[in-house]
Amino acid sequence: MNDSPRALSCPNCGAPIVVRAVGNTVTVVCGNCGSSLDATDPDLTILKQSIAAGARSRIPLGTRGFLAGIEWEAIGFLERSGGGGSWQETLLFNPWEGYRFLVDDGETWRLGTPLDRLPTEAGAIATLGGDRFTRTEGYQAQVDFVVGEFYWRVAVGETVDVCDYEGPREASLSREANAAEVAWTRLEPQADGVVESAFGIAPVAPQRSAGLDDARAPTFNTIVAGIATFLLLAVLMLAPWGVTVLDTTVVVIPDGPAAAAKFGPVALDRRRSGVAVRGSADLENAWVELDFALVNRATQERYEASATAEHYRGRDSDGEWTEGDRRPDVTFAALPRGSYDLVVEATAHVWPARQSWEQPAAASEPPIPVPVTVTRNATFWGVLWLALIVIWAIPMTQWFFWYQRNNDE
Amino acid sequence: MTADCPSCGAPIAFRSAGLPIVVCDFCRSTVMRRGPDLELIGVSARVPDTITPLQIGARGSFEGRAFELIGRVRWQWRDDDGLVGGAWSEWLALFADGSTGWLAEAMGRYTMMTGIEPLPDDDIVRRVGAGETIRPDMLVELADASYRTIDARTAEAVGSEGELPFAAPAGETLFGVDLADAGGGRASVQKHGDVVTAWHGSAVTLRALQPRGLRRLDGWRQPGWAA
Repeated sequence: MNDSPRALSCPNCGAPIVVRAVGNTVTVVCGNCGSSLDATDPDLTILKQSIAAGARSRIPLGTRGFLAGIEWEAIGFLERSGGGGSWQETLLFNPWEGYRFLVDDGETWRLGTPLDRLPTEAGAIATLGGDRFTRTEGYQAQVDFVVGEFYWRVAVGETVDVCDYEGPREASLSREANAAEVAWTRLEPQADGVVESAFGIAPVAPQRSAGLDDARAPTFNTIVAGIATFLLLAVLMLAPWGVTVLDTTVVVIPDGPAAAAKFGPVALDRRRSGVAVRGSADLENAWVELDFALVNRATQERYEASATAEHYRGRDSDGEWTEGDRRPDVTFAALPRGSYDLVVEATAHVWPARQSWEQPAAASEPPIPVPVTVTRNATFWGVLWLALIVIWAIPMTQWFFWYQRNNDE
Repeated sequence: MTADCPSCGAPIAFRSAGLPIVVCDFCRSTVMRRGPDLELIGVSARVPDTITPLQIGARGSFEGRAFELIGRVRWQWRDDDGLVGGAWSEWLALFADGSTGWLAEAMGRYTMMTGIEPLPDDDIVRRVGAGETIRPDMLVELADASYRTIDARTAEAVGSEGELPFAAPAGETLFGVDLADAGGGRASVQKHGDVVTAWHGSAVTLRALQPRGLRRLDGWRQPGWAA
């Protein structure tokens, strides 16, 4: 059985299509041309020709993030409107937890959980798990834009009757009904910055105002900038080098066939990212040859490197000796932005010379698990330079004007 | 009890004493038990690839009763326009006392149900038997409990595996009405052939089932509670 994301291509425009929730997904909308495709058909029959793909989720599809300890992958994105407003919804998936919705109305992110139990309704009050929710005026909501994959047949223009119920602590319930079914969702507001940091998306930059009309020498501002620079460099030195973007394991049988596996996605959202791939193996007098390739899903460009995890121990006239690196890593200096698959090929060998006298020939070596991690460089060089420019812009400008003014006098 | 598949000779295991059907893991023959004899009655379709942490042999506990998953039927339903509207898996759970239940898995949500005896005047049972149209959000009574209808659909089998109470060749159809109450309770009335059965149980999270022996999933970190 195979549960890896399924890589296909759009029958309309040829762009790569990834189906991540294999078996659940019924509709997938091409991110390139906007065609709506039937994911239950191996040929991805076109249900609706392109509806120009335009808007984008603030969370790029394929991005993963942890919310309340659960890892979610953004797999679908909807823009909807109704009741005098519009909002965006990102569909999140986790194989053990199912689906959630992240609803973004431009001010607050709310996390929506499809309800397993129905609220009890009495008049305008719905009660759920001891909380009381008050019904507000109903409206019709329609889908204005859609991209990604969904477990229902979603289409632009489709409408549902929505009724929101407001509850305690800004929580709410939403009842959505069409002719075939009624679906209830519980929405919980997320604290400022929680969603942004979970999915690694940029918050809105704060504004700065400059005071250029100060005739005194800008010594104070210069000291502040100096301290800020020092703190910035200190944080950079103390911060971890990388962010783990993939953590997986390959199992390889010593002197057996090569183990090959594909993992992903490895999402690189910067223009250029430094990436380190590390394979480690807890072995003795054995070696594991590792071939790594990072394959860009969109362009199929491959970036390859090899490493050997090895460790030997022995005894000679000088006494005990050991050598080898159990945790070798390879680095890719500057990979372009994109969603990548990591392809790992591994072969393992046991030092034959030792095996022959220490172990019976027929005994087979146990399989070796090789944990593989992919880390992406966390140092924001672009942001670092920008920060330095922002920090020094005011004192440098002030010094410039101060120097000019003093010269004039 | 184990036996040899009458078609390919591969070993087939019967974990339950009471179930008549087993699908050979190797050649996919559907084998029926008649007393000591094994009879070939057809071939089952393979269950299509589906991202799921469940697998045959996985164990768990429902309302304090230990179970093991021993069989699966994958069902799908079609929209009015004939397109596949969705699919779900019904995993057959064998409880320690020898009884069975179905763990339904649809879009990452789970429901465990066991068979119940409906009351003679349960209108919903009569209506399902008569093939009447059933709308969502109707109030119905079943075995002395009140529910609302969630959906009513005809489903077709697309694949099956393991031990089962009935053969589910591809294309086999089943009409089912899903019911829910305010307490997370679930029920279902199903018509399979001419037989109408009633089921009840509850919506559960995978975590609450304390699962053991789950499949690992490529590219995903298994949560700490799953093993």
